Amino acid sequence: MTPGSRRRLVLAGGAIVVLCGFGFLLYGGIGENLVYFLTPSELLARGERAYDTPVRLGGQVLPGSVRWDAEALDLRFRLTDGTQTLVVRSTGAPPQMFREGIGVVVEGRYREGGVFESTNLMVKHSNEYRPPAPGERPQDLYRTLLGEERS
Amino acid sequence: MSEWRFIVAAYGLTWVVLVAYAIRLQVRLRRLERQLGANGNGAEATP
Amino acid sequence: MPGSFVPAVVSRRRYQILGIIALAALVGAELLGLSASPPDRDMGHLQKIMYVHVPAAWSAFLAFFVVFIGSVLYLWKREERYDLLAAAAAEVALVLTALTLALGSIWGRPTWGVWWTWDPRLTTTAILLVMTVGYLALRSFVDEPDRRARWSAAVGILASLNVLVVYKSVQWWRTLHQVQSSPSTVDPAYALGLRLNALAFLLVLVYFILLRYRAARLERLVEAQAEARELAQGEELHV
Repeated sequence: MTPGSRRRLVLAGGAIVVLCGFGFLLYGGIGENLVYFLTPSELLARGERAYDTPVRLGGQVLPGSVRWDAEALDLRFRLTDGTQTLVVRSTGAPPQMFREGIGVVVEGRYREGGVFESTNLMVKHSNEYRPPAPGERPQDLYRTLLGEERS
Repeated sequence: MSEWRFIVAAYGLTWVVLVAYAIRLQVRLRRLERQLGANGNGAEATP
Repeated sequence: MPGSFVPAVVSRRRYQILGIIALAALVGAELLGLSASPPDRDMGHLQKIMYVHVPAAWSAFLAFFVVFIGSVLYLWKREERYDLLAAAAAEVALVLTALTLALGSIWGRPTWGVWWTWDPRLTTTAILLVMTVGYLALRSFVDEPDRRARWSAAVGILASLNVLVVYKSVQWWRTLHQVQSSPSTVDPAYALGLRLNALAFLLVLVYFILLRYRAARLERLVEAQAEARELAQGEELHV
């Protein structure tokens, strides 16, 4: 075996090992261990262990629960999965699609006071694409939410 | 309107990628054809 | 031997015509999509990114389908052209998958609020991208054509089966990425633009694969010529 072909064999072997590793990750790892976000029910079911651990939490913004302080850039709302509801507190302007009733995923920690402190707020869009109904303007909700500050 | 920045970026990137790849392929083909022609196989390789 | 896989060499100019048609179709479809879509209820004008992101993803999936077909046919028939077809489609698939990820990132920042997140759809797509890089790297590491074709057919099948995982990821696991849209969830105002842009991307895909396939065949021809020359020189020395 020439040195060149041995080197190539090592490289090809390495490539195959990497590919197998990814295959394992894909079929073994993600399915079993990697849950992208917890629901409020699942987080609360953890009891004491839920506190102060970094976690992703997903659910729907409960209609009528959004409180936005434009000066402090402080956003509070309730996140629900239909069964359990948690108070979420987040700082900074939310993404443009944020509105009551939409799905969101927040990253942060659940605190003992019963408030989920979010460091990152992500809006989950549904698979529906529609122009606004007559009389409704796109992003009206967002504009109302943020007031003059953005326009 | 800040949202247009993202739209322009998306369409611009699409065109840059597609045109760059098309040019790369054409250049590669031209080089290969020239190589084949130089090797005395011009009859097969030239259009 | 070289003669057996030399294609009837079509003029590069014909490919250029196909390329011009494909890119012109893309211009037309994009202009229609951009001008005819009203702002979306939630996304506003950002919905328009759909016309590049979704067709890029669909054509990447199709390119992987060609990789799968080429790899299976090679293992079955052991004809070099199928190996070269799979290799050509894999390179195009890499370009389109990378484009899909980048466009998704540009779309995600203003809508979701993040450029990237490790949700299952994004993660499996990133894995698909890495596997495709691995496929092409494997091809460049192995010089012996038969062994290269066998090994890369195996990796090609593995990588293209991955597409099913990417496609199904939004149904199997919780994701930030939405599930597939369907005609019932996309307003007709957007459906036409999406279809036309998908069609234009399909033409671009065909153009890319044909062009890359031709390059792959000519590369083999150059290789074979070099081998023949070496052989001839060797004989001269021995005489």
